[in-house]
Amino acid sequence: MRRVNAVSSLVLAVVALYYLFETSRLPLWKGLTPASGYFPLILGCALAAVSVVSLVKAVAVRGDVEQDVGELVPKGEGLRNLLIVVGLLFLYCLSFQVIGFLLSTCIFLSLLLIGLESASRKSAVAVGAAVAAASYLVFVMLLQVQLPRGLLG
Amino acid sequence: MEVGLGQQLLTGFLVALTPENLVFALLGVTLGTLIGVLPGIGPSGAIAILLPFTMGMNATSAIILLAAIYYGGMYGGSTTSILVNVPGEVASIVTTFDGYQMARQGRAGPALAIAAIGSFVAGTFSVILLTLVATPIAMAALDFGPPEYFALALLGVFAAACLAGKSLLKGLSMVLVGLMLGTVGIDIITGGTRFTFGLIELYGGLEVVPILLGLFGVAEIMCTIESTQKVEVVQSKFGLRDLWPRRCDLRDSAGPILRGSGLGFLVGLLPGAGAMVSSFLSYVLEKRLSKHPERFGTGAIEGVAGPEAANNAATGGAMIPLMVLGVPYSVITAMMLGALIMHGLQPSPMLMSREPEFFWGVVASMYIGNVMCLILNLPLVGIWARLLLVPYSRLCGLILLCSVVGVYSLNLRSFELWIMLASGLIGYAMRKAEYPAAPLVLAMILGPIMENALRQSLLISLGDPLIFFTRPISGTLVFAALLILLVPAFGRLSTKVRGNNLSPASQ
Repeated sequence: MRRVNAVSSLVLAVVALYYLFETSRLPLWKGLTPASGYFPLILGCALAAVSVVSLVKAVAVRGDVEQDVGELVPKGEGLRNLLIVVGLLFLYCLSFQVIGFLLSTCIFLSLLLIGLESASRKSAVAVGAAVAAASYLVFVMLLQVQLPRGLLG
Repeated sequence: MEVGLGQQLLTGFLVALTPENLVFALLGVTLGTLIGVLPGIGPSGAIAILLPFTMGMNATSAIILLAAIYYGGMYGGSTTSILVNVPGEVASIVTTFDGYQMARQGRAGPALAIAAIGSFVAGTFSVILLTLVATPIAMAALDFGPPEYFALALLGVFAAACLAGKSLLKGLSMVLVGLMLGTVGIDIITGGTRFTFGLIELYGGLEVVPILLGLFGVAEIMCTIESTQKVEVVQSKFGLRDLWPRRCDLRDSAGPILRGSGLGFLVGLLPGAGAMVSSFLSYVLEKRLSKHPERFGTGAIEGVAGPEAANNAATGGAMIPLMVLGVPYSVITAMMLGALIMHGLQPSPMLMSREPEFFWGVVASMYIGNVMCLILNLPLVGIWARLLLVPYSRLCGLILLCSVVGVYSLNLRSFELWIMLASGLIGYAMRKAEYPAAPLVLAMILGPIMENALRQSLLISLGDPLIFFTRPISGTLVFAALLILLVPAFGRLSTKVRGNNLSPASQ
């Protein structure tokens, strides 16, 4: 865990420094009152200090569990399932507004069933289409949510 | 003319007992129980998904629905804890210690029944206390000014940092990141933009819902889906006779339920603590008080009764800082603050007098909702148990679908979908590195409150920061906040120093 803690502290330190850099463009004080850069300056300095302390603790202080970073990454079926879900979610977000709610949802759910449960294509598409249609009834008709129509215009 | 408490509560019941609000209460407890039963997004994620959909509802119905999901989730979480040894939501972790052991001994029914009865008694008790203390606290809070609100928010974020995870430094880092995310957008005082990188989508600030769903929903799904462990349900069929506890179970549970109710309410009032901390404290208390502490962890009914009562009682306590002070002290109540603001209501000590029908309507619906939860959880426990057998791969698809629709409906654009996805990936990495997400979300919501209060305070004092210490209430709260932060830090430091002094090398 020490290696993970060191890397994460470093990332936070970089975030803090960049935040402080952006804060430097903001006014700190206006007359008798703090301006828009005052609170961010406090936060940026505090995060920089905390992340430096964390980094020093991770690097210099012994006692934390030594854990290989590789142990944190899933393997085999777990990694495959994870990549399927993340990849399909990415494609779902990409296509949601372009091809519309119904089509994108049907494709997303069908591919998810095929990928995670090795379902047959016919049954996966049937279930995906049914759930997409039911969701349309609930969200659009019942709850009056505006969802993109996309290719179905 | 002052209106008595009884009359106020009667007004509330007249509002809560309308057919529309009864339906929303029932829908909320059903959804909440379902979400509590199924490991996944939890009540906070469910509230985040439903929040955009409540925009078309009136404020009272919306909060009745969301509050019902909150305490319904506490009821439902115990079912998976007892039957599967997996907590449905974090407040039910403790129930796995003894509840699952009882199930393995063929006593799942009594465990579920005591959990439901304890939750009902505690939930009702905490709503009664809420009814009694809300008015006096609101009266006291009328004297609160910007320094007090700054101190309250500071106490909240420091407590969240200390109580959320194992590491104080990691908790503090997440609080600071959350506060920084809260500064994105147009500064409401000066009108200038901050940290928008030229993106118009960020002018209004970062929406909390996509970040919450990413950190809690998407990240949770990623962690669960990568695990190849199959869910094994100890018992999925229940007759009503199976649920009935023995007389000795009821006798042994009475004390823990009452103690858990009081403890849970008090802890729920405190910042950063909430249902999870209250259930842990209750477990520790019952083990200390028990004549046979060695039984805990092997199927002691007290280990189920006390914690389940405590986590439900905490929901009533948590409503006080939100509704009376306007300062949420947990992620769930922070989401409800968002709902209140969306409906044009500003929670404050004046809310009770300005909107009595709303306030007492919500309180009254909590009484009714607790009865509904008891009815749903006992006779229908077999249905909930069978739902656990549904493969997670199917559930995660539905959860993601609802999340995407909920997030998209906020502003009808894809930008928030990408925020949710990015938050999910970051949330997954945070879990691996053991960084808690709750302090980040709470700080993001409390951040604007803190900053406005800070700037107003310094305007009042003409730039003198001592204003936070010279006012008695503010000074006390700031001192408490510093105490919460520094005591654990010193405690850990002294433990390390003592450890070094006792090591053979130092002797």
